[in-house]
Amino acid sequence: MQSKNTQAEDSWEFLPLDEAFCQVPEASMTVANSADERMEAVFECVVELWEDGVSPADVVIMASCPESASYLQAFLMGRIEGEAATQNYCEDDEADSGERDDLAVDDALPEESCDCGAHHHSNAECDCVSDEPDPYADLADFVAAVTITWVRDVACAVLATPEAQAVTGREFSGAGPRILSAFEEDFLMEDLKTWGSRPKRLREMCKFLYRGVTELADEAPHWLIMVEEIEIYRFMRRELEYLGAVLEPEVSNLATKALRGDTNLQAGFAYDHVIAYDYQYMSRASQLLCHLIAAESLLAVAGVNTTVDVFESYPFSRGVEEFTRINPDAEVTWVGVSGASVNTHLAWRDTDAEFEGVTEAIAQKVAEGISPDHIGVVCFHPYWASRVQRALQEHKIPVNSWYKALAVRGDVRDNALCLPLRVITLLRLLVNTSDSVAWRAWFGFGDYLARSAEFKEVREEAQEADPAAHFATVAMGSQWGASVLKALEGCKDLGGEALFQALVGIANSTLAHQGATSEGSTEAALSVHMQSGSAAATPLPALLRPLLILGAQATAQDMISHLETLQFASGLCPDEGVVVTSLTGAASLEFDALFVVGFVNGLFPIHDYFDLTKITVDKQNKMAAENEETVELLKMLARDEIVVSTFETIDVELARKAQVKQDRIFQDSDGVHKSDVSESVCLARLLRA
Amino acid sequence: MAEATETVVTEALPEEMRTALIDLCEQRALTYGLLSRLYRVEVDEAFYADLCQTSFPAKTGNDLIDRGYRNIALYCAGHGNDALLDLAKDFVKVFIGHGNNAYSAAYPFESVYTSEKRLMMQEARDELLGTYAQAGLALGADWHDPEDHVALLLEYMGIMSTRTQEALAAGKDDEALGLLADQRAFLQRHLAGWVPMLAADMERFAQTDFYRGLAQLTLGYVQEDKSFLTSIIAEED
Repeated sequence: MQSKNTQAEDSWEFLPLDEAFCQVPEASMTVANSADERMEAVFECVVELWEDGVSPADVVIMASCPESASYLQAFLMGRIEGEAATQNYCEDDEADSGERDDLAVDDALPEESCDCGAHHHSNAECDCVSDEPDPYADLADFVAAVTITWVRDVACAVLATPEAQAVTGREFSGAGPRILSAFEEDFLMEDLKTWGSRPKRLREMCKFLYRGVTELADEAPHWLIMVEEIEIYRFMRRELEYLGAVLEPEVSNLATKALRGDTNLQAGFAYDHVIAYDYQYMSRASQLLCHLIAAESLLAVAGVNTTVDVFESYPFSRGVEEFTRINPDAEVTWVGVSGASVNTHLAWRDTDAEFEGVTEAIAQKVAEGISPDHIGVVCFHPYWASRVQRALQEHKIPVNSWYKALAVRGDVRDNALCLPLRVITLLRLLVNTSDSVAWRAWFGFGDYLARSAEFKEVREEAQEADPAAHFATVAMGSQWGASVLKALEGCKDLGGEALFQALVGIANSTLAHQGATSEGSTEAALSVHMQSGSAAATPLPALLRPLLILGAQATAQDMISHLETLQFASGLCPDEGVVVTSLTGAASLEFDALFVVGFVNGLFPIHDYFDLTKITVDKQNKMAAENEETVELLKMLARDEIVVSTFETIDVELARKAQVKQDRIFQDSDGVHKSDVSESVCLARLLRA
Repeated sequence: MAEATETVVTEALPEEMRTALIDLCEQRALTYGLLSRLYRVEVDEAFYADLCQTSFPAKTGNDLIDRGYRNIALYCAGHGNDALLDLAKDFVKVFIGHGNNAYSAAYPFESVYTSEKRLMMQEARDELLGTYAQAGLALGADWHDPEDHVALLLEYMGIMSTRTQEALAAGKDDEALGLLADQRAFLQRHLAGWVPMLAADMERFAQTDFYRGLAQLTLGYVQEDKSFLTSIIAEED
């Protein structure tokens, strides 16, 4: 354990954050609380650029997440079609009618309305105007040609370049940055523990470090004061360099460093006009990345609510005020607050009555003519979401389910519990044999400490000899590594489930021998496996089944690409129906009618809010402020109506599992243990117009 | 907290009904008094002697009450004064226990059973402070336990029964029915919801038929009294 009295030296030097460097010649910001208003602001900007004759190749729209990007694209195209439909009329009709109205099919037009003498209801039908170019077709082509992406995608593209890797010192063996999966972070954590800090202290410190990294605090002088923090951060950086990997919070941070460190690189990624959509959901580093790639103009479209982690961890709430500080001449437009005009509270006896009652209320809305796509249901617990979904499906109401990012997790210490993770690791090695992260995972599977002490020795020795060393080199040169590569040779031509079965066989056969240092042991085990033929087909673990959707011809590369999409993105399925989701899922959406289900103490606010043995009074006050912001966000999700649903009693077991705050437990006449529940302390605020 | 209710009676109760109600309330007061005593402290020599000489009803119409009385009676009949030590040990085992969590005994406090974390001195106890004050009752100087002890709740019901009996005897029908309505609300709020759980735990921890019988008797009597109060108030409505 290192002495805490020595002052550590930091050998990394990066350009300090110079806000003037990030300044954009023409910066503007639109702040609007509702998603519709924000998308409308983007549309207006796009139309303006199109009217100015800007080339679409010079424009990029950067959303905060892939889901926002696809919604935005759909909105823009839909908006153009809508605009074309309302504008599409016979010009002669306007001269006769004196004003332009939306055309009704049964409107009788004067016989002489058109030179050809026929009745026309749109230019599309009228040959007289068929020679006129459709202006909206040109706009549609413009929008189709504009790059609509999300900020992490841009950051990854930056980091994939050799220039960025030279600046940041982080080299990647694959096509782009290697972002650690959830289970791969467990190996990193085990390695960090070798420094000597207690696990709980280490976890809290990592949260602090990750947040600081997203806010580019690592460039502030004396960001880390304690020697322990400095050393652990240094340790982490060394390890990530050795593994050729990057943590999710680091992606935008390193990309901004790379762009600031190489002006040619910055010029290569620059667009003349940048529109940053949902600016408030981006981390500080991502927000500044938008500034760095904007050569002439930047429009940031933001809401004011950032209590929800939509995609990136640690969205930077002070980004709105920082924008005006970086761009003092920026024009900021505040769009008027909109929201639901009707608020209804439905109180139910118990949870079963609530699910049934909410379903009937939704059915009534659909019967009244509201499209299911325009109805949203926000739940604060997965059980409520699944029960509402089930009830809606039983009532034959279409439901659009929200898929969560695939959590690639498992207990890496127990081989019996992490088979899917070992298969995924083998898949990665099949795609890229130089994947140091995969080698590190393979080296550590099955050991209670993930062989962290051995790995630390190997790493320190390797980096002392060559600071640019990578673990893959050591692994491939070792006996056990060579055995794995040899086994994977037989899988190169396989695809789909056949590939998975082969990898499962390899994973199981090297169970006791992976990472073994004794010579011949792994090879012996593998040779036994290969002689006996492939193992009988085993049912695939649930974690791997989403990868089978690609079909029997899917290669390892296809599967890994799909896996990365699944584990770093969540969103709505491309079906149509009532959207049942969590608050995180609904944050970027807007509905005609919003149902908030289970709005009781314990679900919202969360149970800890009421327990002063778990949080301090200061923390409670802070949570109260965040709850108020969340309530305001909920209000902005509904255009016309919010329906809030609560219940009065709940089964005690369900209450314990869901951490609903139980006011009073009792046994009813049927002998069932139930508890009284109170409606949320935030209910009055939510119902207030 | 049990809220006072106002019941307006336009006609006086028939005399026969009045007499029956007076007798019933007297019986209720005695039964609640007995139950309260059994929960308050261990059985002492004098009380045990009284119990051994008491004739308990055999067929009350409620199976739990009958079993409860039978178990208590049989225990008293089958054991002499040497039973006092066993009963004292069982009292401790059932109500005090020797563990360090909230599940080591049948703790006779409403807060324990009605709160999330099975803690004492929770909202139930706070409510009862108000209820007792409203009824003009205060704890005796020798009482050192929280106000939501089951002995106090049962004693409260006994006191209210006595007051009802007195009101009926004095011809104050409105007051009597008001008191009955209060008792119904109190029983629903502060006894019926958690006594079944207490009784289940008592049967689990008790080593003697005496305290198992007490659990059955308490549960059965609360059920019966709830039915009675519900029906009597419904009739008047």
